[in-house]
Amino acid sequence: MTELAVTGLAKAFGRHQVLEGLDLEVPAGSLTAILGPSGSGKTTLLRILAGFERADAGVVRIGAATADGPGTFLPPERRRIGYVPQEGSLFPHLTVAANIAFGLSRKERHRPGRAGQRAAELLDAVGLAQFGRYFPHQLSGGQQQRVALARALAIKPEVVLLDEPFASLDAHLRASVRADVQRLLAEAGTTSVLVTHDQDEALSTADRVAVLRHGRIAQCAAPQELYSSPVDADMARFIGDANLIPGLLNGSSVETLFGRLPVAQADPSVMTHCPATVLVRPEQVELLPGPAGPAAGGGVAARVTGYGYHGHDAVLTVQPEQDPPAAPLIVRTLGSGALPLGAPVILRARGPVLAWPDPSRQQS
Amino acid sequence: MSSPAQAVTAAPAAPRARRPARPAALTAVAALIAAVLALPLVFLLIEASSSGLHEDGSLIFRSLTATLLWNTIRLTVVVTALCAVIGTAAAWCVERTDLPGRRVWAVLVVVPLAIPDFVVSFGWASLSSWIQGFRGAVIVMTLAVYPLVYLPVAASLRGADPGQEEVARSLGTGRVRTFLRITLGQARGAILGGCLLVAMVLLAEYGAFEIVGYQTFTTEIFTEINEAFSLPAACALALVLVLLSMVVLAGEGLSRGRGRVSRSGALAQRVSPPQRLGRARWPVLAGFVLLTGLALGVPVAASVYWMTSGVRPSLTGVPLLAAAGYTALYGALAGALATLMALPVALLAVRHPGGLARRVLERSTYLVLAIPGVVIALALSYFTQRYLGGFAYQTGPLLILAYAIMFFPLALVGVKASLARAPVSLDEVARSLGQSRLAVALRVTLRLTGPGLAAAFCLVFLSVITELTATLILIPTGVQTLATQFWAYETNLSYAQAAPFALVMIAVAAIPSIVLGRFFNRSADPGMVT
Repeated sequence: MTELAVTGLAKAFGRHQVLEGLDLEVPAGSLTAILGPSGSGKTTLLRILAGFERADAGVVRIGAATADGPGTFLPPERRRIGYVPQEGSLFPHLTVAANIAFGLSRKERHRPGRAGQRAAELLDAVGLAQFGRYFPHQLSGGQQQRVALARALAIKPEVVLLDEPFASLDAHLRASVRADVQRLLAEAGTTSVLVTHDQDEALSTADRVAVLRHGRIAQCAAPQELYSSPVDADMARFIGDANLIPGLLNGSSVETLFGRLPVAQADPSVMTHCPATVLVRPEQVELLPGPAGPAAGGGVAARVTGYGYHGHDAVLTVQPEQDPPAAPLIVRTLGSGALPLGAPVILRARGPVLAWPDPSRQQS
Repeated sequence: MSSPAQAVTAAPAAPRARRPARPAALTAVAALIAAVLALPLVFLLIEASSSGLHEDGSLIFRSLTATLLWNTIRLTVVVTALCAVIGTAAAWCVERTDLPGRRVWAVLVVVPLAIPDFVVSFGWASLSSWIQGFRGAVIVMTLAVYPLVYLPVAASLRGADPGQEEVARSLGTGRVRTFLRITLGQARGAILGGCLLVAMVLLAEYGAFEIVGYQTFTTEIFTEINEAFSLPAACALALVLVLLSMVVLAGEGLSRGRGRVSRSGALAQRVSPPQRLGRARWPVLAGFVLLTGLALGVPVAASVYWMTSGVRPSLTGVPLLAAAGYTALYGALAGALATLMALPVALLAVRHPGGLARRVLERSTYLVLAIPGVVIALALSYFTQRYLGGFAYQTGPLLILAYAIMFFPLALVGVKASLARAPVSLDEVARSLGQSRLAVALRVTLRLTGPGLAAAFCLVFLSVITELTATLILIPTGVQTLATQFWAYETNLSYAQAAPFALVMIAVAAIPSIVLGRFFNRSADPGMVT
């Protein structure tokens, strides 16, 4: 079931086209992240979903209702959307409890105990049970964000929209607030849309990630799928580390500097010996210390040019010793001993790999 | 090969144009209000053009004009500078230090605004003949109008980010240099705004100068109209006065520069811990005692002295009550009208900034403050008599409209400041929580802007009570306000009979000024609101 569906959405500010023909479907109960660099139109998209901005063209459907479309526009207060802005935007003149109870109906707010009870439940859920009588300025940034989320959830919204809610928090706080938010949203079972420019955040928090590029969703998939099957080379580079090397596509395999590697998505229509860009993820490269020799058995000789230790793993930059010189490669290894810069290594790649035919190099 | 960042950021950074580009209805309403405000200037130009350029020239370029120009400019410069120093220093001490009795001082320091300038002048001049001419005018006006700098500076210091001062200290800047470079920098816009108000009030003042016998453009204009009955001469002088005020406006705009106050997390910010005064504590306290003594004590004491030492006033309490009632009624209605008129203009300025036309529109509304009340009153009577056949001339509504036009800039300052406290993002959140526009206005916008709107209303109310010149011209026949009745007795040298009116004016005006202080105090400490 789809809770939120957007088709053909377009929006321009003056002569600047921000969104052009954007399509997006958000399944009910899922947490979908909209990922894109700043200025890519993420916030504009969110503001259109919330009803703060009207789309120039296209349709927004929330549940069964058309929220924004030709001749139809549902104002924000009738969309049942919980909105958590970047800076929290708590009402400075109200206590934390009153902030959370703000969206409840007059009857609910004024019936003794009722609003208090709902606010107390939510305060408890966000771990701020004893802060109900505090004012927003007395809370830390992370606490303010939790209150903002509780306030949005209080109205039992159909969809929760979060606009870079963790951007203003420091890294150590971010992880814990992020986990809390994820848990709360899952418990509430709400459909949520999270906007972020942090791919780590998107991949680790969301069920589905939609990458916004040039005013459209370039790809929308589960984090694993986005990483393992990017739609194109740009996407491969955007999500995670990527080695993009040239190769010659030949049916179900591709010829690269690592030799012949199987291709994950074989495309029979591609002609033989078609030039291609090949994606080899850093963890697909196997690294053996030592100089090339008969014992190495057909590996690629290379030298270490960079070394970064991350505890659970290490990321190396290596320069294949080739003629003509190839671009340096990124290799991820698990727990191997430190290698000095300049140390000789042998590289081997494990398939299957992704390869995209590269028409620009067709003639070469 | 393009880098990953380029691949996805191919589009240029989106402009953060989030508001609807052209708020047409709002602009139209604001333009209409600006047109009403422009009436006096239009009148001035019609009169000036009808008397002919040659005649205007001969009226403007005479030695009297040079004397008036010198008198007006030197007084404006000296008093504005004094007010800037006194107002800023007092605001900093009350808002940022551990001065004993801060809450009491916060109220007492503002109260002099409630005392009409001409009552301060009367209090001082009736006690000593030394208070005369330039000297007298400087003393009287400084004590009467410094709160116009104090109020905005105190508000801005309260809202400023204490983090900036802390950063400056951590970068090795001393206390004094931090005050000069950071604190004053944060309050700069407020200081300049206050100085603008002071300068404009000085350019338009009549009663206080008349009493100490100091001649400025405005007193001369009043004399030309009321005694010489020479409208062309008055208009010619008024043209110079308006030009002078334009220079002040332009100067203020230029010195403000392009700097913007940026603040992160403006809404839920920390309150700065007070600075310790240490050994300076007692001298500073003595300074406050002296300031309030001179500004508040002397006029009150002089009025009490005249009331008790003179012959028992022959009047009964009934005219006094009636005059007080009319004054309060006119003040309240004018306050409400001016605040209402300021709302669309302020909304445009705060929520839809940018656009040369809109900025000019907002700025132009300040010009009114520089046009003396007497010219505004004449303009309205001119229009009602010429185009409405005398309808509404010398009626309550016309007088209230005159007040609302005169004190519109005061209302605008307060309304703009209050709107800045209610950012659009809060409205949006409230609407996403299922609240209608009306509910959002009542539960969020009004609650946040309420104190500022009340402040705007009070500023206008106070100003109406102290208004004399326009009232003398436009007051309905048979009605007296406190100011006109006081003036009638004062010009007759019936000090004993004038004094009770002075005291009642102080009392009627003091209440809103205390409310004003209370509101600012409360907004300083939101944690105390229950």
